[in-house]
Amino acid sequence: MSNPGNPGSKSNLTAFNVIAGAIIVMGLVITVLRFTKGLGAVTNLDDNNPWGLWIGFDLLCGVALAAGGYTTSAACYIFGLKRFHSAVRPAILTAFLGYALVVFALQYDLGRPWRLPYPIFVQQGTTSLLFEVGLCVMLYLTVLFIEFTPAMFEWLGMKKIRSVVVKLTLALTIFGVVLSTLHQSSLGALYTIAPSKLHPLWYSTYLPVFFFVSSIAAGLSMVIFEGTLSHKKLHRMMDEEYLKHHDGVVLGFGKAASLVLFGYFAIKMIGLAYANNWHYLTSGYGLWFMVEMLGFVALPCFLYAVGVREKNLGLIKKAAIITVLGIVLNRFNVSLVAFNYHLPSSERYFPTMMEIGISVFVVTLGVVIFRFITTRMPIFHEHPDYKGEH
Amino acid sequence: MLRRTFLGMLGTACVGASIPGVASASKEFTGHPGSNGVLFDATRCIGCRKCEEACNKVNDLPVPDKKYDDLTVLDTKRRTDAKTLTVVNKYKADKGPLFRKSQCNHCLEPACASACFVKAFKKLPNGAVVYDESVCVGCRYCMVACPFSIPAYEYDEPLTPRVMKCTMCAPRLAEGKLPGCVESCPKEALVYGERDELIKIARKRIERNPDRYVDHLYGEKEMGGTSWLYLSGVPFTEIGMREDLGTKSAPELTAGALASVPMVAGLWPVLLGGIYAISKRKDKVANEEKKEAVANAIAKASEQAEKTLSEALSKADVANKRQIEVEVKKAVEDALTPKEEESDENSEGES
Amino acid sequence: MEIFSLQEYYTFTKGIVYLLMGGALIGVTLFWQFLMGGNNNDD
Ligand code: SF4
Ligand code: SF4
Ligand code: SF4
Repeated sequence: MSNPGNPGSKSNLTAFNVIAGAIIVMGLVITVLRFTKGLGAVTNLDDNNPWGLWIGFDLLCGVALAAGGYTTSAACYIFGLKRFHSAVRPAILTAFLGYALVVFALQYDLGRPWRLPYPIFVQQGTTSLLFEVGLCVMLYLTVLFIEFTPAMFEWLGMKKIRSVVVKLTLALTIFGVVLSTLHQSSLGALYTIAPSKLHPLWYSTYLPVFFFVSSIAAGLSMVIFEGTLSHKKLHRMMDEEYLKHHDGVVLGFGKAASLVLFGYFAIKMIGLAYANNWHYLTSGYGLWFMVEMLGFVALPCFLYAVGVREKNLGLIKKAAIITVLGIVLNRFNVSLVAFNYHLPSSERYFPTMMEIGISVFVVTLGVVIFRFITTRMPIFHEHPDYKGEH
Repeated sequence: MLRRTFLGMLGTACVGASIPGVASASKEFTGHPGSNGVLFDATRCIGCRKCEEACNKVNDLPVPDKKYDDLTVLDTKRRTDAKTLTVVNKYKADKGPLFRKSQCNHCLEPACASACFVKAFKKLPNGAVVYDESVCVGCRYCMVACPFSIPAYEYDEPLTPRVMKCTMCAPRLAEGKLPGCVESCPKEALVYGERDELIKIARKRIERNPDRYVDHLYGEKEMGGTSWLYLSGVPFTEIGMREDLGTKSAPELTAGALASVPMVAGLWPVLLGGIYAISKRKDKVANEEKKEAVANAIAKASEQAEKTLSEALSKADVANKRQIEVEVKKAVEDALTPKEEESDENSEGES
Repeated sequence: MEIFSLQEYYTFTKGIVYLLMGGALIGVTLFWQFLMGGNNNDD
């Protein structure tokens, strides 16, 4: 009898393990530097550029790319698209890991990390959008954790608690969507306070809406993208149920992502018109803006559509990768490229190798933990005791 | 009578709900009455750096390598940093060099306070915007938010970094003293006083010497107004001050985004719950239709079977009726007995 | 407490709004139970 729950027992010295190990050691070294020598020693941050790669990538991109959790569970449990059921668990797991790592990475960036609970428990700065982000991320991390626990309880064979949690699915999913809407958009709204520092092409009073809508596209694309990756690497962990639905999930999500990207493109143009920023399009920044909009929004939107029409899974997967890159590009543009655009280039920010090192370290940690969990808990397959229970 | 009592109660309830002392309807705020500020006059500043020195001393900051009477420092553009809460910069102009002091402007609606998620910044009734290190998490959002790029950060402190900025010498003000920089200025380029008075003084200066000043009091309206005000003889952009900041204060800029937050929290569950109910109902209807269709098909099939049987029977009737009837009976009986058993088994298996 | 600036005003009102939001989220869960319960549970 094939039991997909068994971890593959091969030698530990695979190429993956060696590289991952090296990166983790490097990360630990930088960690020590950061907490003994200070931010100044490891980063290029300065008084004009208080937020760098760790906010632009680890926080903004991390949160956007972890949006797969709420989009997938909403599609399955709220919109009643049961055929996406097999995609929910991997998506919830990646989202939970993603958020956990965002919070983890934040510890490096914060001046006094142990005070992270202060805004919620000590003194509430309710007018701050960052307060909103903090509150929602904390709550959402809890929701994701609870949503993920059934897999853990199945693994541990704790049936009673599992059935209690499963009953909460609808409530948890709705909370998840509410909290995600709020913090995804508030991350964009963080920048609404600084119209004088962000280039007008990226600054908009609609920033929260832009961030929210693009996070949906990011979430859907990440589910497709991760599915492809896991498919290659973790095939042995997947059961028929997952494999049977995989292509359907890709098609369905591709269709949804295409539509969302279309809407996103439209509202971005409306944003331009609303602020009457057309004349900036001919400048250098304008060109860069066009690259982002045409190459990383319009193009994947179209590729998705063609891929869905022709049932061309390969094309859909390519579109997913372009979309993911496009979201990363957008978050970088808002937080790094177009931020402080008024300063001379000598006062602009570029990350140090050590900052990049920590970001790579965090991503690697995520992949390692993901592999650890998916090879043990029922993520890509249904637990034999709970088959067919939805 | 009854009606009046009711209205009275309603009124009390409303007053109770609005919480005494909080202006509810009108959202025009003009700041603390009688709050103070400083007026800087760029036409009087000679770039002696005495204010920088005083600031360094009264705030107990580390002494810099280059002495304060070394004026070559002015040749490079500087900004406030963790060890320097105020800097004087030199700007080239047609009439010769011009100098401008920069420090926190002590906004009437501080962006830093609006941005801080632990309320570490506070606008005091005397006009100063002060920072409370004991709650600061070190997220540096205040630095992102400040339109004047003033707050600086102790990046080299590994574990206890603070945000550093001018306090308008709040501790000295509390003792009844003048801010250090104001006190030390030999040219009275800095004047400390009630903000409303300072505005009047500034207006008078502009009026009396229209050739000496541009007709603009920087800080009166910028970003909702600041307690530190500036007069200049050249357009402010020429002495490194941004004139494109607008008059909208930071809380106004984020008001829209903040206002939509509770709407999402209030309405999303309703909307999503509705979608859930609809999709569930659709599922149910689809299921029922399926069931009905299956039932129909079964009914139809059995009807058909009966019909064929009776037809066959009536046809067979033509010839040797009796004999055939017997045989048919036999055959039917034979055919039915095992079937019955079978169906018994089936129903058992299903239950 | 008297309020002199928009900043203080928002701090005050948003504080209340955040509490209400929490209340609304809990409330809607309970209300949903109430609405979907009862004996007219056939659709
Ligand atoms: S100038 Fe900057 S730091 Fe000073 S009160 Fe205004 S926003 Fe805050
Ligand atoms: S760095 Fe400190 S003072 Fe500035 S916003 Fe963050 S918590 Fe507030
Ligand atoms: S008011 Fe005090 S802290 Fe501010 S610049 Fe002047 S001396 Fe420095």
